[in-house]
Amino acid sequence: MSAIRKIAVAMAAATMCACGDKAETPTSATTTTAAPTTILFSGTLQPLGTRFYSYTMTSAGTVSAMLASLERGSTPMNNALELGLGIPAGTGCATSVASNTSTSLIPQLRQDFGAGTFCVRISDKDGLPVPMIFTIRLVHP
Amino acid sequence: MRAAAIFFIALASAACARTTMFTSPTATVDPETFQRELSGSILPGGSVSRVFETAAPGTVTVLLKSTTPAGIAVGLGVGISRSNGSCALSSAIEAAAGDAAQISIQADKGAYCAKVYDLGTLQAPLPFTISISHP
Repeated sequence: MSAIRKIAVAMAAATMCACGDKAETPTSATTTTAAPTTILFSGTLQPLGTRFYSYTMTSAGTVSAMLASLERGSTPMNNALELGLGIPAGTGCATSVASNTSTSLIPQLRQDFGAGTFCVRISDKDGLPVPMIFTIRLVHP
Repeated sequence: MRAAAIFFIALASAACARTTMFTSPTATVDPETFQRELSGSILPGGSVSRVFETAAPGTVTVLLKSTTPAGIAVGLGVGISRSNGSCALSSAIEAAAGDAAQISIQADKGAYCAKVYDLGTLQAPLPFTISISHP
């Protein structure tokens, strides 16, 4: 084999090695995500009243709460209410985050929590003219 | 020999060209929007609702396309289904077919409902068609 041919073979081999790494390395990504749990919490809110609902999370993650509907009869209302997330305390719900909000189909609250028992609370601070029916959508891990 | 070396360096560069070629990533948003129609008949004092599901956050639009006879005003709303199946309204308008009036509301990913209801004026069943557009 001539010197040129030896060089050619060596460089061809080097070329294959140089191109053979990383570009073709397969990686198997395995991601398991538990489906989030959706809770609908509906009830009647009295003027200056408070209602809350407790739920349990078996894993940490982001909780979103949406005051989706407030109705007087079957007419949607836009009164502002206080929507909060927190932990049950005694016979109530001690909120760690809250928002004064009217209805929306976009979550008004998002908060990270660990595993455990938590609660969502709705309160009328301004005084509704009459009792109204609310619906809250809560999504948690 | 120098010519051979230059040749193979060029060959190596060409051979590797495909693995070193970069394309700048471009953020794209799937513009897919679903549109569906709901036809039915509202009884005096009654309502009709339909559940739909958004695949992503975005704009939900509901339009009253027709009633028979035309020009009758009804209630048109969007909301969320209660566990008992009723449609709890978040937003509503009074609309007559042919109006430009429609509901357009931002919604998170999830299940929602559209509702058509009597405003208390119907004397007889009212056939209608609405269209629902959502991501």
